[in-house]
Amino acid sequence: MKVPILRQSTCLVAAVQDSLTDAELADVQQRLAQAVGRGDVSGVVIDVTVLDVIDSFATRTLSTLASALKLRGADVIIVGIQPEVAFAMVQLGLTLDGVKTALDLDDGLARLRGAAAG
Amino acid sequence: MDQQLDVAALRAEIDVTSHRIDQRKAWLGLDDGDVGMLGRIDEVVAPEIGVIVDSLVDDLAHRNGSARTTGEGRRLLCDYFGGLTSADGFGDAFVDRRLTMVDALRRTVNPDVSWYLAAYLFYLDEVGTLLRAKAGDKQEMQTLYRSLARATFLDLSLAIDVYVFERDRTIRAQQRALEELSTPVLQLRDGLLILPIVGMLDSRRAQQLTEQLLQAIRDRRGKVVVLDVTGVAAVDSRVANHLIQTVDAARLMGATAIVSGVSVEVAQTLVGLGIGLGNVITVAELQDGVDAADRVLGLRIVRVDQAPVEDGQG
Repeated sequence: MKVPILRQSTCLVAAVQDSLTDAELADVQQRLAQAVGRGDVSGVVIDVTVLDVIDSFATRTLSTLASALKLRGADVIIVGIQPEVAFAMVQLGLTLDGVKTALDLDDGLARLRGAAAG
Repeated sequence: MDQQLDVAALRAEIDVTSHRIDQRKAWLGLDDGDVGMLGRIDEVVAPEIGVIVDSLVDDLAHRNGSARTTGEGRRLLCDYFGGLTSADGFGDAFVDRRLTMVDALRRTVNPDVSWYLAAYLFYLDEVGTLLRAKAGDKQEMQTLYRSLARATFLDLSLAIDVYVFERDRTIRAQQRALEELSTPVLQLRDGLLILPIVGMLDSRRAQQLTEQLLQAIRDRRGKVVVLDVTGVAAVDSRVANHLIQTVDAARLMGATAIVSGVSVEVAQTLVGLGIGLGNVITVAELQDGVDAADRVLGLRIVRVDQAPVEDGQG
């Protein structure tokens, strides 16, 4: 299933709906990179609330996605990592260094706006 | 304390299964032939058991100055040592009966492990003397005595099992109490959580603690967490690693973690071990931690009389 990308003023929201295959993750990356180029997008929120597994491939994709979008001038923030998922990730040594995180969509949007305002 | 002993539960807890008993019997070389030998010993010992126990009690009381065991305790001891040779096999029934007796003795006489060792030695000496007097020849006496020694050692192993289990029970209870006591996640104000860590931080507790903290971050919408390690006596590389993992996990959920209470000694130990806490924010005291957290939250504490007067007030 394709990940819908929604627009919320100057932010894009990519809400992951289901466990993603590696190909789907690559597809989101592609579409987001293109969408950021159009119009004045200042930030991207990636909502992973429904994911119950985030493995090393997903972690690396999210990291590279964040770096790539940063180069295109947009801030990326990952929101909705669940407690169990966070725990499993640190056990595997996956810490998403250098990527912003927030509790949920609300919190993520507030932080992006705060960063844009400040 | 006076409830009936649940032998089946005790055996399950101390892991004295039928298989383990068979293993011990194999080690000791105890087999059905010994049961017959013990029957013959019992013919000699049974009439004398009262005398043996009396001199045993006298001897032990005399040697360490404790009170003589009388009444109920003496009766239990007669049953206990008398029952060793009257056993009709060393199966589950025997083990159940012996464990019940050890427990009854523990409640009534409450001897310690060295008492047991001394008592068994004394018992073996006494019975050996009796056998020497009654047995036909030296060869026969040695065969009988060897069977008795095997049975005694099996019995002794059961007594020690019960004792070790009882001592560990206290330790286990204390451990549980400590774990329950020391893992509250406190909310100081909106978005600010405090996690005071007290006591030893092993892998199991670190995991439990991290899970609790992550749940609290989600449920109470924590933005900043202060991990206070003032109550952690020793920090080594493993504990430091647990802390770093907890901080990373909190960050994945969008919360900033601050470690406070790293004492001078702990800091020196960590530096000595060559462990840096990486990019974890650390501060000296809990108060500094709360100040740092307020800065992250964008809050500032202002004295009431120095606060700027807002429009429409006063």
